[in-house]
Amino acid sequence: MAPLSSSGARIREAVESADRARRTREAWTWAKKAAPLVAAVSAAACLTARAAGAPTTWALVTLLAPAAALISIIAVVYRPRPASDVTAARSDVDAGLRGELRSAHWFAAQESVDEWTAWHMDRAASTAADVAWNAVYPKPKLRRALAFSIVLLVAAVAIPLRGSAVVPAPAGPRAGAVSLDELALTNASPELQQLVLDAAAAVLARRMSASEALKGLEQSADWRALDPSVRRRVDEALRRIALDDQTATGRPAPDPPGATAEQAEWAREELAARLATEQAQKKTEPEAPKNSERESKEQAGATEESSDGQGGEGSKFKSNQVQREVPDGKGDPSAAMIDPSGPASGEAGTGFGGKHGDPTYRRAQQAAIEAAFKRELVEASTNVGSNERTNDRRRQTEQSASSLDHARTPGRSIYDRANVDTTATVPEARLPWLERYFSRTEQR
Amino acid sequence: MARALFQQNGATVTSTLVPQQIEVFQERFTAVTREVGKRIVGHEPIVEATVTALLAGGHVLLEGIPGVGKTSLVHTLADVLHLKFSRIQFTPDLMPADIVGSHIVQEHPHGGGTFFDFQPGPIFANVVLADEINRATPKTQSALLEAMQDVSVTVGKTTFALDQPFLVLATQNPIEMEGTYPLPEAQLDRFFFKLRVQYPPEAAMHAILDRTTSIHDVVVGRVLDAAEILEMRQVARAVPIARPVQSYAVRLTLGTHAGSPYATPMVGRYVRYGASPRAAQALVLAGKIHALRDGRPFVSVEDIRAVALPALRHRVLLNFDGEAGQIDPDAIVGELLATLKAE
Repeated sequence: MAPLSSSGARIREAVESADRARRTREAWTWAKKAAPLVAAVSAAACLTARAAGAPTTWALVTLLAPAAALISIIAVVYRPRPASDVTAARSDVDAGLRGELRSAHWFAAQESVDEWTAWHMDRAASTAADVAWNAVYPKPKLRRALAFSIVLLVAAVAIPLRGSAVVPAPAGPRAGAVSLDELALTNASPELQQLVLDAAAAVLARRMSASEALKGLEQSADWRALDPSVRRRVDEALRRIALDDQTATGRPAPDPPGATAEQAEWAREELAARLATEQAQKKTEPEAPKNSERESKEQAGATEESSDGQGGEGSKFKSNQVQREVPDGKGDPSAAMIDPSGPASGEAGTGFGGKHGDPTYRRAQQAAIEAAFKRELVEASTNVGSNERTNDRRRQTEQSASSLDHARTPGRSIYDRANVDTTATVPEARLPWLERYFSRTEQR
Repeated sequence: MARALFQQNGATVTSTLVPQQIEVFQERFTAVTREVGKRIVGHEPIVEATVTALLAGGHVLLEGIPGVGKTSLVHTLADVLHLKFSRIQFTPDLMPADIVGSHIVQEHPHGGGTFFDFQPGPIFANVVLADEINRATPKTQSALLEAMQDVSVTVGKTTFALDQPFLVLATQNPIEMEGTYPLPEAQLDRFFFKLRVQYPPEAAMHAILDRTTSIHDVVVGRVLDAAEILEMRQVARAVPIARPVQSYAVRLTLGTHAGSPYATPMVGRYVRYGASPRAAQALVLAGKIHALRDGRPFVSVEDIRAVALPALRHRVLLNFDGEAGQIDPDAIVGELLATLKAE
């Protein structure tokens, strides 16, 4: 005897419906608990991403990943499953069917049944069909949790979109950062113009450092015949390109090799100092041709004597640079201060001697820096909203450098041992004397 | 109520038999308990369990202090069932022949010598009341073994079949243990149920007094005969039981054995021997009757749980620790029921 196929099918269908309703309720209950938490975590992640300056895409990923995980889990919980005796028993207990559905579901899987079993299954199918499974497994109320989650999700979406404003914009086209007009190279030979442009492009592309590019230019006869002021402009422009590239990309520039943050800062200070010197010399020395000749001589001397860093006043920048890159003791400021015959009025920290120790020169330098600072401010105020990114960067750099130098100048103009940052190094030859001085033997 | 139930050889077969059988079963069962309840008050569960054992073909051991209505219950049941009833008062000097009967020498009425004639004992009845069964010696108690198990009696070389239905209702007093012989395990296992007759509640006491101390005697009618009882037995056995439910009965039985994976801590500590397969048979049969009482054509786990205590309590044999600690087997079975969950 075989039961009506409809009875078994109806029982299985009822069990599957019950199981689906139960899992739906479980999924919604789980979502009710997890959705606000996931939304809060997403909002927090987006807020953190914005504070850390991460890209907008990263913040959106932190939003979408938990949402995708939530949807996946709900889908897994809600996926259709074949009805089993266990699920039938569970639904039977939940609906209060007193074991009828469970028993009938087991008999529905049997091949042959007797009269009693067939009637039992028919009765169970009718009973199960009358059960409103959605009432047995009501869905939880999600209004409050849903509203809270939506608010948090909107916040999570809004945060990265607002956050994109503070994310540094990618560097724009920098090929136009160097123009021949700006460098006053319009009168130079076409070969030299092309050479300078190639060097700038190489520095911009990070194929070589600014110093390497300048060394390459030094090999050109046209370059050496060029006016020193023009060459200095090209020098500054190349270093600026390197600095802009470093600022825009956030990666350390390759120039100079092994450069440190301190050296980069010093380079900026040097740039500001040179500008200030020019301004001061224009004001105090009206004889431009003589000055120009003198600078030409100084530059030549610097070129000749830059290997040992012991050049004259005109080569002070180059010699200072050598002192910082290779602290071999020759330019050690502390050694100069300890030496009684040395320039004790110089800066203790930087080791500046010569005219840097002269108060008159310091005051002139300070005035020049202030003038340059004012000029930059005027330029910046007139170029508000402009697209001259390179000029803006240079201005910001020089402003910061000049203000920093301006603050330092008064305190370091007079030597005071209390203001010495580093402890003076005791020469090796004097150590035994010091030990004998402080460690006296006991007198008997 | 015509229902399309089967497809046999491509044809749809209608049947109204099953629901009718269930309905009749319910009516008869209710009629018996109602009639017994006219005289026996406050013991409805005992009455229902006794009728259940009768319909399952089992025997009942009633345990209770004197005066709570054990013997009255059996008398009333015999009156209601329209069955042949006999009572055996078990005493220490009672012999097996006093129960099963014996051969006696008789003369032929027309002469010609003598012959042995078998005189059946009181066991030849449908309902046998073995009152205070634990006062007889084990030898006499064992005289009931064959009758209870095989529904037959062997005297000498002759085996006599007993009439169906055959029901032994034994009583014993749990407090007067001096001069008694506790039933052996084999004897205990042959009882389908062991029922504990408690003191009736206060309201029931009033009813008992009203019915037994007035001039109006309570008369009960005969509502069920032997044929109807046998028919009900067949109906009860036809009830299907799903394998998961049967598995619960099996695990429940196995759980009474120390060392079983289903055993509880109390079982492991206090039980010497657990329930036999007869216990599982009793659980399933009683569960079927319990389901039919409710008008259901299937057995549920709840049916098994409802009959577990009377079916298992006398089959759980305590060890020395259990006896010394006066552990109640009901506590052991109760813990098992609380621990063992349906799959």
